[in-house]
Amino acid sequence: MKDEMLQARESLFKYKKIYDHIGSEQLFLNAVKESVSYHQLNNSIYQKILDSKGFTIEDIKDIKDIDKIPSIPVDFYKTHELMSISPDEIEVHATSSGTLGQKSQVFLSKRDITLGTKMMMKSMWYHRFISLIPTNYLLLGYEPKKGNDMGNVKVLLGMTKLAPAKEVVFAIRPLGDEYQIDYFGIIKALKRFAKQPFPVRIFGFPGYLYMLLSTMKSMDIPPLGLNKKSIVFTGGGWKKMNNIAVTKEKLHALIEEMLGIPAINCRDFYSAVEHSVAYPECKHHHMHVPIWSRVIIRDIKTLENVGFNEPGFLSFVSPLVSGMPITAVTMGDLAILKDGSTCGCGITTPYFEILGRAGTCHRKSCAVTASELMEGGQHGAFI
Amino acid sequence: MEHLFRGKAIQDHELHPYLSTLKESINTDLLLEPLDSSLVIHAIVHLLDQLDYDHLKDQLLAMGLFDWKADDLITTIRTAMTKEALETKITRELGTDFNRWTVIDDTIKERRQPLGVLMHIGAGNVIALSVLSVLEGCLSGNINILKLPSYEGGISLMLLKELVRIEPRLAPYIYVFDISSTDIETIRTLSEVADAIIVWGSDEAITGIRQITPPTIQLIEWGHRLSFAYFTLGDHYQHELEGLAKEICISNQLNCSSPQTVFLETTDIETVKSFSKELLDTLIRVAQDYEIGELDIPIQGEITWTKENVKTEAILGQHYLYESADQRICVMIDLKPELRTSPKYRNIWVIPIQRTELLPLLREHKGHLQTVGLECNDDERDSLTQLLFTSGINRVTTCEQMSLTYVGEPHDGKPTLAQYTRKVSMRK
Repeated sequence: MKDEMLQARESLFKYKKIYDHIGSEQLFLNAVKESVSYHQLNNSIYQKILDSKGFTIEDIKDIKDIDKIPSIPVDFYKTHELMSISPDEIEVHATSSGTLGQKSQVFLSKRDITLGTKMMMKSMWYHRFISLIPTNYLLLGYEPKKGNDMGNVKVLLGMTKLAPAKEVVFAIRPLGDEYQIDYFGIIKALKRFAKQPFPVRIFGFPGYLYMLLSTMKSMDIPPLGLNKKSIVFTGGGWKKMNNIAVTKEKLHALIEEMLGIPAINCRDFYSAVEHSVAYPECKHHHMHVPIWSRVIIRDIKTLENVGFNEPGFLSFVSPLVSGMPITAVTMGDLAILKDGSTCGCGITTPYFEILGRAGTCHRKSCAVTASELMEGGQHGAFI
Repeated sequence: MEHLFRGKAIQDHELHPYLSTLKESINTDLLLEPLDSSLVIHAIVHLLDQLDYDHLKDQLLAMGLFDWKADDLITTIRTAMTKEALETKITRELGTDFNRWTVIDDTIKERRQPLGVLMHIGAGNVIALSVLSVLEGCLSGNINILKLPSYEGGISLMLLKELVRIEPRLAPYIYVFDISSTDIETIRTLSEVADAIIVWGSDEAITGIRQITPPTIQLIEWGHRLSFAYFTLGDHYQHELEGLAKEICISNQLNCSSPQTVFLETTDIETVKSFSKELLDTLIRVAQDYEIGELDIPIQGEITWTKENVKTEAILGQHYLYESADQRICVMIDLKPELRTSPKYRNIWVIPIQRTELLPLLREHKGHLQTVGLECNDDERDSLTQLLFTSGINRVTTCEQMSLTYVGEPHDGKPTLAQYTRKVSMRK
């Protein structure tokens, strides 16, 4: 079966109200069942996984049953290449940023990319991030070069399509074999942008932005008054800079102080190469779940669904991708799910908050950690 | 926040005025008569004699330690810090020429003396580690500046304050600063007066300190290490499993010397499986004596995460998982020979290996290696031990004693106190 034939998925992605879980519930359910059946048919490893858990598609009767779909821990994609399409149908082969050294391999079909792009545009349109005003971009990520196929780079480049790009500056540039943060290049670019009447959009890891702004401050560089319509998009978490992580409020205050961009224009988003649905923050800084996915928080011991207000593993169910079986995945992140009606931004679907990664808190041990072991003592730029 | 400046307690708001006098204060004190190690030993012994152990135990319990673990820690400190033990430590690690001239010939003599000023970057992973590091600095006659780790419950400051109260002559040798690791400016100010920086902690912490340390200041790094058990086949292993299980339960695999993996020298999968089941049974039995209660969310999360990955891999037949009925203890098998770190707390890997694979595998992790708990036949012990040393291992011992040290034992292949001294020579 060609993935264009996934009609239930097509119907879901045609649905217009992107945060209407109730109205789209049946469409979502049909699409998820279709997705699971599709991967079962096209991927023998996935079939084995479902069999080993005794799962059949008949187990899903209504929306409450989606937590029964065997959820694959994303580390599995780091050691196995799982394709549900033939190699010549792969449109994009992306890899995760690999905080712990290994990278997930993700395969997307042409249709996955088309639907994913539409989904992204709908989301960006909803949050009013699409603009016709020429914009300068500062991307706090890796400048693309040959052989660099990290998903992060592709996401960053995609973001420059949301408003016409006047100039695009990358923060991390190749210097010989190594990537390095080009502090002086960034600061020069920001000063240049501040003199122009155009908005600026800054995208990247929050840690980089925090380091950059703290460095500017400690170098006594005077605050820059960027255009008020400028936007800061952060994503990807603090990664190895967790030891200097500050609260969202503190980061926003620093952004406003040093760049003049108001907190309402500072939005974090969650995305993972193993999931493909992006979660931008609403104006109240909450990551609501759109119609294309559902979030299930799983108990830290039993992996059972714990519902709202309890910490656990973040797991997603989404029928978006046909290139590989990532319909139900569990992330290494710990998170908590909240009732969206308490937010007040107008969106009522649930939202989640990231609490950190499982096992990054080895304060009590002097044994080598997994990340140290995998890196083997190599310390280049943060990846 | 409280700090100690030249042995005197100062408050946070006084920190900066005091810091501006740091260099002058140290330059003056460097001219003092050499610190007599017997004075230091006397003060330490006195400190331990009059310490309120009930209060110390309460503090340890408040930090989340279990009763048996707190008792175990207190006993360890008391046995390691007797007069005899400390004197032996000095002789073994510093030799006989500490602060004494050795005549080389008629015109030349040599002496071992303190480096001068040591800055200690503490780590909170082992309780009271920071205070032990400062005591070693004092025993080797140095002025010590300690940057406290951010989560050690105030024990180091309390003990060092008490030490100065008992022996005021130690005041010029002790500075303690409770500052954040992100306060790079203050860390730089402190490091500028140091002859050497002793850094305890993760690769990340060490890399951070390396980046801000000028090449003229020596770095002494006590980093994270990895240890494992190594079993060959034979009758010996039955009763040694008990020792391994004890080590796993008592240390919770948190020490750099505790096992994360057991390598089993075999190519037979069935042997690996039966060994693992036996290890699991032994662990379940031994763990009954060492209760650990509920684990923190991120730690439990890592354990569940690792097991879930193993379970998924198991579907494809590369991994196996054996766990206790309450899911609190598990043995995981990976058939691919690899040095692995476990999620700790009684969750251990068993990995089959062939002896020829050992050296190339370990060399991949040189610099991280430390202890091997070796269980083998007597006639292969010497050759295996030599192979392990050649591969980069520094300690070979029995499984039960992996975390047990002896007085004057080298740390990561080096005598600790000697690292804090230098040899000077004089020619007439």
